[in-house]
Amino acid sequence: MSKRGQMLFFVPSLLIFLVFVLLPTTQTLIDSFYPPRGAGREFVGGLYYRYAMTDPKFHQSLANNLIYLFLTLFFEVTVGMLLALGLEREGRLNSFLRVVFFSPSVLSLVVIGLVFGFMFKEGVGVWPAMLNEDRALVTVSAISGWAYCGFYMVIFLAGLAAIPEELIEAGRLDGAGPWQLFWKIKLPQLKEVIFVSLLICFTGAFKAFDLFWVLLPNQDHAAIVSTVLVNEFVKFDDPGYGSTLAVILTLMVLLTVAIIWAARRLWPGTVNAAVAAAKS
Amino acid sequence: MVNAHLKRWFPVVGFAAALVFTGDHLALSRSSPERLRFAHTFTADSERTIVNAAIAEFEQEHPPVKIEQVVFNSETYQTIGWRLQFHGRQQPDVFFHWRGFKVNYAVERGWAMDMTPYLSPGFLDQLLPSTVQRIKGGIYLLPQSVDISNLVWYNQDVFARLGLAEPATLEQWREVCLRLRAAKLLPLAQGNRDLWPMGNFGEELLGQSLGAARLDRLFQSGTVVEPTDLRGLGTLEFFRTNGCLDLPGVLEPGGIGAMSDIDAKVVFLTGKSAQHIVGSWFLADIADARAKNELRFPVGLFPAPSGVGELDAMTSVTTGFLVNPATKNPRAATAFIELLLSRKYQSQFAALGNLSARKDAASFTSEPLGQRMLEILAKTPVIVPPPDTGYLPEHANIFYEVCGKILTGKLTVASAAEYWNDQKRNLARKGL
Repeated sequence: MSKRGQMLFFVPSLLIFLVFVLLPTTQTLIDSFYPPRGAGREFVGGLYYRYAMTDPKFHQSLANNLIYLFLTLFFEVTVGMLLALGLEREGRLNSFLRVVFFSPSVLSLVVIGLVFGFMFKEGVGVWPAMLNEDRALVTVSAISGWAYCGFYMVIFLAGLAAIPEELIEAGRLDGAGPWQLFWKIKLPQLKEVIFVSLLICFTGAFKAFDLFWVLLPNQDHAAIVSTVLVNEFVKFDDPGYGSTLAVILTLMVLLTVAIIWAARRLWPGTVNAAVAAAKS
Repeated sequence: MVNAHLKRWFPVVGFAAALVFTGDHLALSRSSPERLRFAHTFTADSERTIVNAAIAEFEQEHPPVKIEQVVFNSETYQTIGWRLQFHGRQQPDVFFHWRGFKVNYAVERGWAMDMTPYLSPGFLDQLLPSTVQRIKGGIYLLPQSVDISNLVWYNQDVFARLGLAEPATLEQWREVCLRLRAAKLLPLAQGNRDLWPMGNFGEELLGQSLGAARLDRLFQSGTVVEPTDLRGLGTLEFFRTNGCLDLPGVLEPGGIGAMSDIDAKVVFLTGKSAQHIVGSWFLADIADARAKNELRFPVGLFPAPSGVGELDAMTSVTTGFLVNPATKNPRAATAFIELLLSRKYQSQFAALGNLSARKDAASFTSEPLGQRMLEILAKTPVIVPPPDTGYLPEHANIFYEVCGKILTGKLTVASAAEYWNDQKRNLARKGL
């Protein structure tokens, strides 16, 4: 294909990236150094960043984000992996169950939040009090797990399907039981899939918004960074501080990705290593 | 080769540049003396019918002026809509607003016009003086209605069955609540998920114990809140510790923090609670429930009573209309507002439960509960604004959180002042 042809394919995506990602991101970064719009928009430097370092609401929301991150790690990724291991074999029942578990992930989180919100309504719902302060985060994480464990199940099923059958056979021939097959052969082979899942889960946990906004509005004990920053824009008309939180959140997501990328190198996962481990 | 490139791309680039520089002139609807944009939150069919009729009459009497409605959802408008509408090219000429912080904000930013030069002679005399506010000597908001933020709506059948009378003092009301609880009834159905319902009630309690001036001081930057300033919030603590807000099988202790105001309204209207504290707008919900045959008991109301020795204060907010100084026809914009606030259309709004700001409102408010509300309004000497319209949102939010945390046991009245001061100090680091 000629160079012009290649450019023609590239330019639309670049334009979309410029207009919907780069320009707004740059504007957000600029806004984080200015107070709310009004007469006299003067540069305030790092005022909002310094404020974020001492703002207890931001610290609480960040703690909630981390709690949510580890809960979804269990409810989404771990449960997804267990489902994949349980439904690995081909069969009509397994095929049906795969569809059942995957179905919620095609629904909008807002819709899911509204449905569960009705079920948990105080005074009128079938499971009232599930969103009370002491259990709100766990409940929301469980809902998120219900919605997305099927998605991770599909990812892990693909990973399991890619494991060479010879490895499994070799392990069985050497007397490996189900647990050893999983721990010594399948898990190392799923290393790349696990890291992709962790990447999606962790970045998703920081970007979470819909469920919290629909189920737990104005609940500062369950606020996460994204709901706090949206409130700064919407409720308090402070795009300066809201933009600051958005920048900090972006940096945290990038840091998470970098940590996961670095951790990937620490886990050996070659075929030879898996075979040697199965023999031992 | 270069010429070929230029020839091919010049028309594209030229068109794009032309669009960028002239796109503004392609806007389909632009501000003009003959077209007024009217932004409001009248979403109910019954309200829209009245507004449409007023617009039709105005257009007939003021040709060739046409009025274009911009209808907002109330929740969207009061959070973000009322500000964002001024950031575009198609700003409203006439817009709805709540008196207090939001009006002051609009005036400071040049979004509101002093209507004094355009008002008809004697028009202001038709309105209740307490609803007409002068800012820097000018009239920026013409009041349409007065919302009473806290009224105690009660099940008259339950009160009659237990031999209870409408309490005249706070002490009597506490006694009523205890008797209701002893009779295994939920005394109060309250949903404070969004913080403002009981926050507004807390404001009224403090207004009764402190008065308007001292209360106002608490919401200012730099002032220190003393524990004695918050003694009025002891009623919230009383309700929580004496089970007035919960009942096994209906509402779990602490559930008030997770329930919305709409769900609390449903709990009351379905007869699961004896009382419900909410504003005067609840009359429309009662009328709706009656019309659908869903209300099985007669409803009464009384104002939240003040304690012995306290002030008779009430939380209330005036709503009305403003004119954008960027309008091309300020005279027509003001005349349209005057028509909306005329007796003819205010009487139609009153039939929907609206408390008109007109002096003659009592003569066209026929609904008994509506008449009762007007009497209460007329007799109350001290009016305090709800925090979310009277003060800076950040400071209002702190107070709402204080009330919310007292109701869920996270704070006591004794520790609330320290929490409030901590939050104020935190805001000061942000320059607020």
